[in-house]
Amino acid sequence: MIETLEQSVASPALEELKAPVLYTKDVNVWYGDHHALQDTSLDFHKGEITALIGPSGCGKSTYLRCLNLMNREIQGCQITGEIFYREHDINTPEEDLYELRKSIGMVFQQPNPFPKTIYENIAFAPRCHGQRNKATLDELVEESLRGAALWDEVKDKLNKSAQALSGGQQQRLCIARALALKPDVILLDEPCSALDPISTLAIEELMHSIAAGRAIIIVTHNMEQATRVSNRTAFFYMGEMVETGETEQIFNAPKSQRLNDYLSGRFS
Amino acid sequence: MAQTMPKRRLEKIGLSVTGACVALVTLVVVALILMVAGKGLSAFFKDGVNPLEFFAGTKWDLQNTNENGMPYVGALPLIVTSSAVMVLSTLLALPIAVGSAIFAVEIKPEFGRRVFQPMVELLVGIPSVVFGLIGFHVVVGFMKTVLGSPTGLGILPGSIVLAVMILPTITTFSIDALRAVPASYRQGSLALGCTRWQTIWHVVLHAAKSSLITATILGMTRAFGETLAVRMVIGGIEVMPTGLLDSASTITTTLTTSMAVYADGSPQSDILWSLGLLLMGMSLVFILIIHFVGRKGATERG
Amino acid sequence: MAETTETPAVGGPDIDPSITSASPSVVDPRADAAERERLRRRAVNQDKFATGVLTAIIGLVLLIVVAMVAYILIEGAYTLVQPGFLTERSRANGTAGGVAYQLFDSFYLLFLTLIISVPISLGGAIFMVEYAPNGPVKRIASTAVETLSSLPSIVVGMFGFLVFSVGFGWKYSIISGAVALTMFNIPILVRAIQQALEDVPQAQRDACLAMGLTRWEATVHVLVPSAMSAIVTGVVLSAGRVFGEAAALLFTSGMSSPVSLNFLSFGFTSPSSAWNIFRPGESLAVHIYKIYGEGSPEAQQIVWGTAALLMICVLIFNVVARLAGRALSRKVTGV
Repeated sequence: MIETLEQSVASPALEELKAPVLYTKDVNVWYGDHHALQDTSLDFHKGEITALIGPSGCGKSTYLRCLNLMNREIQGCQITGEIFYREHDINTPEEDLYELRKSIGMVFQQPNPFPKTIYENIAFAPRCHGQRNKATLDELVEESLRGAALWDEVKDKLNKSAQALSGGQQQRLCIARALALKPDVILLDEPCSALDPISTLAIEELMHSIAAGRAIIIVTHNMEQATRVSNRTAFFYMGEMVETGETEQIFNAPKSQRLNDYLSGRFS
Repeated sequence: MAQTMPKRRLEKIGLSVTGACVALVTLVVVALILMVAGKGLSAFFKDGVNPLEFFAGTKWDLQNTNENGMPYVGALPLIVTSSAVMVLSTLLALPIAVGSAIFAVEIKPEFGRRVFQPMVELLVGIPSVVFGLIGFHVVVGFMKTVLGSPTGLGILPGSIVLAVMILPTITTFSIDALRAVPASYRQGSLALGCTRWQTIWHVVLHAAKSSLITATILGMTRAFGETLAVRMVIGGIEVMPTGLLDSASTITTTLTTSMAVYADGSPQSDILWSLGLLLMGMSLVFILIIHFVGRKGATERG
Repeated sequence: MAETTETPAVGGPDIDPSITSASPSVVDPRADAAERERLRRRAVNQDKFATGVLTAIIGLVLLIVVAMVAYILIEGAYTLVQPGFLTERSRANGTAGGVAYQLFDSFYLLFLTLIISVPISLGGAIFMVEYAPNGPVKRIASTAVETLSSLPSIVVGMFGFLVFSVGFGWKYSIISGAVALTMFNIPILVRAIQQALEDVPQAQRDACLAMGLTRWEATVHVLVPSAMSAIVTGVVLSAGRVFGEAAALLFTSGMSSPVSLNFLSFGFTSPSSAWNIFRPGESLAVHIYKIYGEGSPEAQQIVWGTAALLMICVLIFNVVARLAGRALSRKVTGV
């Protein structure tokens, strides 16, 4: 089932793999007068999982919400700097937010399925984006649910309310919902913080399988989770991206003092 | 069709359609205020009514004219009656409303939500003519037989009927106000060994003070503007009230009986619009007070 | 609660000094203990007394509600079951016959009012919650709605009379009345719908926007369906208010129906067609106001019958609002 998904995104050429699908240069965010994020530059490649870690209020979620310009929906929030997606700067007033968010999916902290049926939760957005063919939608729903490892659990109750699912299932449904739009970047904002350990494990396993051909960016406060799922890690502290590198290096050989202090639990 | 449209256009359409609704409502309100103000002021500017006579004069008689060919337009009796009815009904309703809100929130919350609130909402739904009808038979009858009033009509029965009508308004808003007080305040007080009543009196009511004032003013607004129920029990004679059991007439009841009688543009019609303007002005003042109290409450809470 | 009343009232500095009757200067512990005991007794007695008073008050309120409703229904029951009361038209200027036309006019007015006011209120509320949650436009619009809601209905009626009946030349007509009622109804509805939309979790909006949907799509497909049960409850409850409103109608739809109405004539301009919106009409509430002072026993019976009918309609609206809201919310959440 993963193969079918991969076919949908153009199989990346070698040089494409080297070029980041999404990168930022000197991104700053202000909420009114509060300078929430300073000069953050990061690259994200297809096939990689990047973890954003750091104490609460460090700006990691703020940064994540810049990548699909969700911060634009917050009044008084201002983003400066350049955010390149598919080699063009999206941080412009002309950017088509709707096309952008279609190809950059997002999963939130709290599972937030719509009060609709499981089928409708997935089919609804593609339909709004112009896909009206019932058979194609049926296929898409199955494919997305398989992609999120949920198909076997819900295939008999596609017409039941999504809100009757368990928390872990709801979160996987939200991932399936994002997959249905065939994104090449998926942003996850602490996707497991509201889930029990078993559901968390299921989501972590899922992340590896959906990372094929996609850039995955996950905000987490759980450092074990970051080591388990990510290839690369970026550490944020007080609105600043302090250090980034291979996950192994970040956790085993931190270069900066602040990261070292954070890892040894001097602050959290 | 909508789905194939470019998203930006769709968003613009949504924005314009809903924006048009808001614009329409706002326009209507502005037009209403301007027209009522224009009409109401024309009595003073066009017909040359002396504002002093309007606000301080005690003789109201639109049918007869004085030596200048103008009707008698002293609205003081109407203003006094309206104010008396408003104050009296609020005084009657306030303790009952706040008391029952306390009971429904602090003493028996389950009963309050399940039984009491639906009952009170039912009272909100009863049409004002039905209040008036019951008032006309029960309250007026009581005034006649028990208090020996010849007609049984007047300010007192009017206030009693109004008190029952504004009771649900004040009660509902008071219940909301008390519910909004954080449970931690109560627990903090009870943990210090205070009795439930001490907690209610010193902590809960204190914390909900500004919302309770707002609730009261909302009730007063309704009392000041209520028309038909009052009309049915107050008598409708436009003279300075001398007692609580004499027939009198409020601003609203005078409008009900006289508005359709006089031709549009006549001095009589204009002066009635001045009464309308006065009503509107009062309700705007009430809104301002509510905003002021709300802001003060907000700053007090920090 | 019992255990808290039994605890000694030691009081706390943060609460209010008067609770402990200002006894910060603890000098003699024994004298203080006696004093405390006295205070404790007083506090407990106060508590009991207050609870008693509050219970009496709430009993009084419940008594008033029940007595009012029962009184109307009992007084009107006899007339209500009379043959022809609901099906015959009134005679002798309303003092005889039935209230068929008034009943029809009430519902027709309500129907027209809702047809006009629901879309406008829905659009306005969506704009205020979804498009301009904090902007100056919302502040202006909220002030406008608040102003409209605080205006006495007689002022709205006068405005309707001036603009629609006189200005537009609609005279005393159903449509004049419906528009006046719309102005009366819009603030109630806007508030209810606004509240319903605000109660939909922000996460639902975020999810829609993050999938590249417009606010409009989010509103139409997700937010309004989620809020539907609360919206329906609000609409039906407002319908109850509109149904009983009379002051705004006196000068707009008038105080009488045509002598005879033809329900089968769909010529919308014919003066005798029941469906003609430019004919005068009289609601049940206005009918009560018109004839309440008539002395004849028959007129009095009609008044009470009409009041009972009005009351029953309002009760039905209340029940329907609750049931429909509950049923819809079950359907939406599917649980």
